[in-house]
Amino acid sequence: MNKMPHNIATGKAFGLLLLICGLCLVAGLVSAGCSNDGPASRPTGEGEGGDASTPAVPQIGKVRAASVVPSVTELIAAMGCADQLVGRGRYCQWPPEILHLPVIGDYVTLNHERLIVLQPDLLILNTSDVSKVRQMSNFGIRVIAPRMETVDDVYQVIDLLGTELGAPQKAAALAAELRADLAEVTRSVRARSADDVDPTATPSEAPEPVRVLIAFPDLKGGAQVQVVGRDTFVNELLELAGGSNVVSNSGYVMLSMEAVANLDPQVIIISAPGDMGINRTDDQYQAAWSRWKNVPAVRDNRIFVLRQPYLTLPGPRMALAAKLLADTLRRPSADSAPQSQSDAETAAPGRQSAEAQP
Amino acid sequence: MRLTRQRYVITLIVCALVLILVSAFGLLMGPVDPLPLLREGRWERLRQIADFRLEGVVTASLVGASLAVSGAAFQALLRNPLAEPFILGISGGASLGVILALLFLPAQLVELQLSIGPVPVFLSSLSLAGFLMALLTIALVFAIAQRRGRVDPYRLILTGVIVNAFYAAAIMLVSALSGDKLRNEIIFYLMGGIGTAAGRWSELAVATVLVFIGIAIFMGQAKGFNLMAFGESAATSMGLNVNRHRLLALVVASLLAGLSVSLAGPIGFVGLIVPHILRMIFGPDHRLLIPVSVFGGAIFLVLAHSLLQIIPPEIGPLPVGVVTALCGVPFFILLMRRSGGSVGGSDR
Repeated sequence: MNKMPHNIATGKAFGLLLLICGLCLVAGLVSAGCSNDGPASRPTGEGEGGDASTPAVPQIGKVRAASVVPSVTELIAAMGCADQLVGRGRYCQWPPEILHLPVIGDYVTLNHERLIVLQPDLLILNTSDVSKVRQMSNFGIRVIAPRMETVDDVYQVIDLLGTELGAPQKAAALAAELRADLAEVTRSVRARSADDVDPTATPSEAPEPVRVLIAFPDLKGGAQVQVVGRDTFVNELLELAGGSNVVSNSGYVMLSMEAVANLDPQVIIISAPGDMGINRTDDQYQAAWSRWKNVPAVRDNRIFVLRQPYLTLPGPRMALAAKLLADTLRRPSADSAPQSQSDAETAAPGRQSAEAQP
Repeated sequence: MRLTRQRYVITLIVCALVLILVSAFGLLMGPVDPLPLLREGRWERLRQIADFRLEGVVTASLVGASLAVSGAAFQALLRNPLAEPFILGISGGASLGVILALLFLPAQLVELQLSIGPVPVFLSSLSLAGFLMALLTIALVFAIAQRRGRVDPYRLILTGVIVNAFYAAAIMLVSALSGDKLRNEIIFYLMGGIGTAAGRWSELAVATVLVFIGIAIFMGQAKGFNLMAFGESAATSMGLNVNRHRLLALVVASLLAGLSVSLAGPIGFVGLIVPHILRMIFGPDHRLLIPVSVFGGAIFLVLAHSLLQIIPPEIGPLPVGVVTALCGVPFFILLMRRSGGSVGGSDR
């Protein structure tokens, strides 16, 4: 009996200790999570009130737009219409000049209150979710959800944006510029493969396109791997860059490692943009393939890790992406430095934006 | 059914044969057809594919064996037919460990290289983090549930459920705060699946040793499990140190559960249903039930894993837990109906 008070006391102390532990864990997780998308959320947190209440941006008569689709946001900025943007999505991280805009949602959710305050004329979503469209039209906001999956889609969206934003000349100029850039990539690829008949390359490879696999890394090193298949934007760029995809499936598909290895790619490109939130070195990504020693890409050490987020993003940087792929396909092994000077230049902004991604 | 030496030996030999058969089936199943490779004589490629598939089969059998034997032990120790390996919050703890390691571990530490004597051992620190968190959870749950060194089963179960709820909330918090891609990764991990450790055979070797130690301890305790079925006081009067027996067995069972989660994520169902099924077939004598659970769990999970390999890639990667439940539940219902309602705890 006389032990009771002691027991209660220790029990209380123990309970308190547990509670404190729990709170610490929660606090730690919250702060960790915040630091995770810190660079993205901080500017909006500060700029939110000012931007929402005094939309200094629009001039009279200009269409005010908000976009949660990163590639469309990027296109609007590239057209020179960034001044018409009043809100962006959580994953719209490029170019830097739009980072100060308030975040109005992401792929899944929209912040209705912010949208009501901002009152954009036009909202660009990635899916034309019927309920969202109806909701927004109740607020007097027009919603479009353009398809953005091929190179051709990009031109069509540019055209559409020109009409919607009332800036057809700017749209036409951007489209012309992009066409010229892509044509330049194609031309230089052809010129290079003509050069390659010279002693530098093995003669057998020169006439045929390089057999390439583009994969996305799996964080836990699983038995399956997500790869780029046919009928995708990345596949189009790959063919522009002079490669041929070893995968015959359509879309971005999950395949077993053994099936992929059996396709015998000559080059493996691992697309690891910064938005994974995980640090892995190139070596670690490459190590996932080390068991398939007689796959040509593994044998010849031609597994390249590309961290530029624009590689898979249909948008104004698609010519950069095509050029990046073309330059990568010409690298003899992963130990060699990127070939052209411009590659290093283009890599720099990509890396920067990769860090900014949540 | 009396357990004679003859019946014991024959049962185990048959089980081993079935496991070998199923493993062979697992080696044959996969997206790449080996016949053309065989015809072209590409032995090196064949060897690599076999190596890859063998890793999946070995992982599946280790995980299946751990889960089933751990489930059998939990059901006997807690005298509760709903008991399963994750009832004490082990899955939540280990999952949180893996997920946090996935998020915050610096790149250099993802793979650890240790040396045991002259042998280099590669371990995934994700698995290690999961296992350590499982250990921590076990310590925590027992510390909360014990009273003056005695562990009451009901308090233990309640503590486990609560701790699991806490971990579940923590995991939800982490995934809510993560980006899209990472959230997918977390959700998929939580479904549980047999991956491969990217050629990390030494990790599987370490796991194998641990699993065998656990099984050996359980085999030594089989008589104790049988006595426990008569109730605590009866077991004590028959000379069993109930407390010591229960504590040791619970810790070993939890360790096996933690090991399986760190290898393959929380695969549900196997640890709950496989022991029940085997008890219906082989009776409640743990001297047979324990080794049969080892084989039964392994066979069941290897089979489920192999069946998954036939599914065309367009459907996407399915977690093995889907197959275990989809195939296991009808089978379980069939057995339950036929056994005339004598289903339930180990003591009935």
